[in-house]
Amino acid sequence: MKARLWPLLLIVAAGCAAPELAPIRDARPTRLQRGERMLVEASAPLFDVGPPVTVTFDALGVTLPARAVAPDRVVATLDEDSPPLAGASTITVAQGAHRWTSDARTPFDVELCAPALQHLANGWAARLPGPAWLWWALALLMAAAIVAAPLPVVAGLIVVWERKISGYMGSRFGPNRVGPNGWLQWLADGLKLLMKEDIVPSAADPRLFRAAPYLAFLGLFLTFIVLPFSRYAIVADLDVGLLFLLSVTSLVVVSIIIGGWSSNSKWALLGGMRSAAQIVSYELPASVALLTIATLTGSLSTQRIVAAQGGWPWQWNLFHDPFTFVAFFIWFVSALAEGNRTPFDLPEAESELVAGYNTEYSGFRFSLFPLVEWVNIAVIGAVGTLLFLGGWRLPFVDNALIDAHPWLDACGFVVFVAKDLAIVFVVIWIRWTLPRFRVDQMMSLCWKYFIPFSFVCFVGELGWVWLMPPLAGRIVAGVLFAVFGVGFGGWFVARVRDNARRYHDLILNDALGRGDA
Amino acid sequence: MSERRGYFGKIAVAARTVSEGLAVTLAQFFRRPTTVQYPDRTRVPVVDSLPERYRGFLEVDMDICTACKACERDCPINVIAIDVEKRGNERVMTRFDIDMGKCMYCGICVESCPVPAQASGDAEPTKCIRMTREFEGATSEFSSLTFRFVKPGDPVAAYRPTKGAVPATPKRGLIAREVRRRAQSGNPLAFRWSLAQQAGGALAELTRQDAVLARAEELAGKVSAASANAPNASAPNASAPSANAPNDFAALIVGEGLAKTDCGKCGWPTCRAYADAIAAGRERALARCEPGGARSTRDVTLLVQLRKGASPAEAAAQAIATTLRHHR
Amino acid sequence: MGELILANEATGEEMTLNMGPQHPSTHGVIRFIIKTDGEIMREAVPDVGYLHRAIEHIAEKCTYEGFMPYTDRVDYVCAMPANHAWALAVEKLAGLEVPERAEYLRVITDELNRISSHCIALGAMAMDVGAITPFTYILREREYVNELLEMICGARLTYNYHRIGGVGWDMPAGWRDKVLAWCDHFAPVMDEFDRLITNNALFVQRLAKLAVIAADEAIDYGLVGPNLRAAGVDFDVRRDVPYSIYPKLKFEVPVGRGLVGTVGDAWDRYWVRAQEWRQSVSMVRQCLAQIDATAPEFWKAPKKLKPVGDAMARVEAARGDMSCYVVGDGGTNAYRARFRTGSFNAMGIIRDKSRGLMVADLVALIASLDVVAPEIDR
Repeated sequence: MKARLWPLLLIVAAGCAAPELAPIRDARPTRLQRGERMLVEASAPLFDVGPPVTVTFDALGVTLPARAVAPDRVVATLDEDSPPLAGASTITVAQGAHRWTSDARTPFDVELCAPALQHLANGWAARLPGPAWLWWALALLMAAAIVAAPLPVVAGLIVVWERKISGYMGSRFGPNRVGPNGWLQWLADGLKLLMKEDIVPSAADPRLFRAAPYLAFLGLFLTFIVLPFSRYAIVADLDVGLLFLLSVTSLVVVSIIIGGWSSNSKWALLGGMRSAAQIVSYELPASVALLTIATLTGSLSTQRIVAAQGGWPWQWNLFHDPFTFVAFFIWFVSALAEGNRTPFDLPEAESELVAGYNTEYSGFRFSLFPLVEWVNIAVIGAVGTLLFLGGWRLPFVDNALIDAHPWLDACGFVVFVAKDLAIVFVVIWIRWTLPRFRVDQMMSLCWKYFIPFSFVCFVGELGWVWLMPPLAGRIVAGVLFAVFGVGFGGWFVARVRDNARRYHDLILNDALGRGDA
Repeated sequence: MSERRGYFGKIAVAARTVSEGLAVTLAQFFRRPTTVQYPDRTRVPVVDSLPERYRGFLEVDMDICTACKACERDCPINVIAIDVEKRGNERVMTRFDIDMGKCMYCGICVESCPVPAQASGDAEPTKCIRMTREFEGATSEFSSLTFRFVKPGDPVAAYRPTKGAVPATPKRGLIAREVRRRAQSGNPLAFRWSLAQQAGGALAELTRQDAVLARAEELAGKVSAASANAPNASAPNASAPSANAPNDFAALIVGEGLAKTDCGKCGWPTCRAYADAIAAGRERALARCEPGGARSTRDVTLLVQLRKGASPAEAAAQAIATTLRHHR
Repeated sequence: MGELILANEATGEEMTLNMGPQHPSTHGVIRFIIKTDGEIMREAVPDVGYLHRAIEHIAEKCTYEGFMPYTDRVDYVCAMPANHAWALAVEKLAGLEVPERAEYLRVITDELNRISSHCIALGAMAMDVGAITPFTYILREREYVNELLEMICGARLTYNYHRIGGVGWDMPAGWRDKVLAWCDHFAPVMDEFDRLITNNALFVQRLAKLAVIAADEAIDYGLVGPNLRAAGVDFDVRRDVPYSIYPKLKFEVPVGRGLVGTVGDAWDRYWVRAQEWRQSVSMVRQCLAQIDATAPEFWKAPKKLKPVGDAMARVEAARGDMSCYVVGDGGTNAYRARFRTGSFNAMGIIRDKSRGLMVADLVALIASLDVVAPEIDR
């Protein structure tokens, strides 16, 4: 009884210890682009509705015109183009001779952003003939094309890379004939799939069957909107970035169910259902693990999460505290399960016996499912990088330096991609090492191990963020990095070298030797 | 064992064993792969790198073959065929064929051969019939896997061995390669077969000029017989389906031209209906009989042309053209 | 686990599935008719005969010596012991003597072939459970063994090496050193394999307590070889019904101990084979050390082979006790030859063990029993 009461007591105590409410209580959103509005809330009815109001970000030195929409609410609009400015700032609202300032102890994290896609389209619309919506649509299409065009190539390259990795891990070469050392194999396979006959089973639902792969592609493609490849290389830094990510990836689940069900084949349906059950189950620990990071950063915006980390490994979220460390593994394994990768590929590999949801598909429609699967690996890598591995952050480099030297932004991009590929390598490596789980074992792992641990991480993170003083936190981060980063890494490298040392290579046929690459 | 470990113990065991496994595969990742990339990226041709005892294609050195037929007798699968004749007071072999497609490469024929030999380049002695290191024989024609060690029409005299001598024999594999080359290009069966395939096979047979002409003459006789039996063609109700002249001709079409399956693939309910339509002139397409195929098209065209009064030669030409147009 | 699932029997119609003769995981052309509700099987009925080639009938059409290549095909994955069984049976029938060197060579090649057969068995078991990389490693090792056997007899799979009265060839120059070099190479590979997959938590979880075969069950169903020993029955033909020069060799017979689950589960059947590897390597080394003391003769070919009577020989093939029974009526061909192989009996137990298993487990069960189609159907 007592053990269950003390968390409650802690919360009440915290509430009592909360500081006095300042006149300006809240302002949101704190990240504005041209044309956007900010709502400032006061803790008491302070304003006259009617006379003009100004809202100032003190630390940034920017003043915005505003108007009071209610005695305790003011709306400010960012009319002009603003140079990109960001910082912790108090907010001062002035009306007439009155001035009210928010609490200096808890400044707002204000960011005024550079012009976005919509602004680009507005510029076109202003200069060129035609309706504005046409230019907006064009701008959006252009952005979509830039993001989508490399996707098949990315998928193809990852496929070839996986085959080469699996080859070398299996003591053989992967594809090494098509293109330089085999790196154009994806082109050959893609063209072959395109040229195959497009079969739609007569018993299948014609529209849904055709639509399902495109839904999957849609769900995957949408995730690229919020992935921050560098400080500026992001399509849209949504305030609810993480939530958006989680939502659109569930489109993939929907497409799997639709694909399996519309095939009108008992086995495809069962395979689809099983796959969907797996993905839906593992959404829970994955989401809660992500919540842990969101708790740590205080924001769902992906760019914000990256900005909260540093360039050095001990500044990454991974080593920040034990809870984020465990959350990483929970999230990573859940992401593997959601992506149907070994050791969770039973819905696919059961095609030994039971065909998966994509049995009845052929040709181009079929090629979309593996494309989605492989780009999903890249997305897993990207999400892991931005959440846990510091994203595009470079050591010694902060935002001001990036603005001063744009080539550092490109460096950030390269760093992000490198970390992404590192995670992709680990995903591939795991696939080619481990056997696969049985369905019931997989479910038991999720419900009996991951979900409890993920909730523990979340609640623990709440406590950590709230209670841990910064210096002690940094020390813990350092210790975690030393023990798990350096220590475990060193142990692992030692095991690899031990394995390498024990193996005696053997060539029995001297004449033949080994073939060359 | 895992029972006693408990919740956290299981996690620890899983982490440790998974890490060990990952270390093994990563260590392998950095080693040189063991693949030998046949056929173009090997240090020496694979054929030359195989061990000396490799049991590949058989070859017979006809210069030292005594025609004892021991290999033919001992072969468990009967793939060796040897014909020996007496010419004068000499024994000659007119045929020495080994079907390498059926051979199971067991080497028993080699063991039964009584003639030892020493091949150049070999450390161990061999025999008159021996297995080589040749193995590349993939072909699309089964008959080109029959190795003929005696060229047809060029018999080989049997060798009379000297007691105790071990004759020299060419390097193993050379004879096999030569015989294989001959088999794949000079094999008369294979040659004719492949020619026929190039010409279209069955279609070429069916549309051969002389064959079609012969058939046209045969059918011409039957057409005139049918017409002779019919009443006058200018009968008043010649358009009626039960008129005799078209009837007989339709019966001829069914009997000589169509497949008589009533399958309906031609679009008509029965063969007879199709034939009636052709005879009455309602149906112009003569290649509709699917089970009948090219033969049906040819024969029906012949019949129709002959009925119109063409000569057998003209009918044959027309039939060949029509058949090739529809079935090539 | 199986009991738990039976208690919560899934609702839904039952489907009859065909795990057809062509299948990547049935270890040959074997057909299973599976009745399942999609998750749990009611039973899996094996249907055999797709690889029947009438080998025993061919024996009646072939001479005794000529039949030797056909015995390779009785179990082409592990052909040497089949050769050995036929040679032993005919030699018993005809009362022939075999030179000692030939016996050593027979045992060396038998054991090498056992290793390569277990390579396939263990690698396939790992692959059927989802880990593909161990299979490639093990095929690489098998490739070395194939090369060694190719050097001695010229073939890599269907050896036709043993003869009535001896063996076909002696060791070529340098072969002994190559075999020893390979044994040195293989020792750490076995350990590496254990680190990679044998003790892997996921692998253990898939196979532990799966399809437990108790000792009396194994005997009732007539299981032999590693399947029998994994169930806890300590019986090995090489030790208990000795033939050839096995009495001169020191080796242990691994018996299932239920190290991670129950005695007689699938992991035990895996583990027994992984231990047999090591014993075979040790036997090969012992033979190579002892073979120098033998006379150089390796084949006493009988002049005339027309025996009368019957004889039975038992050898320990990789898949267990392979018996060969031959009846001679005085002609050059056998009157009747009969091979009794372990895989045929293993098929019988699959039906009973499959009840209540999940569909994914059937593949693991078949793999753990190490059935190969040629042995089942001959």
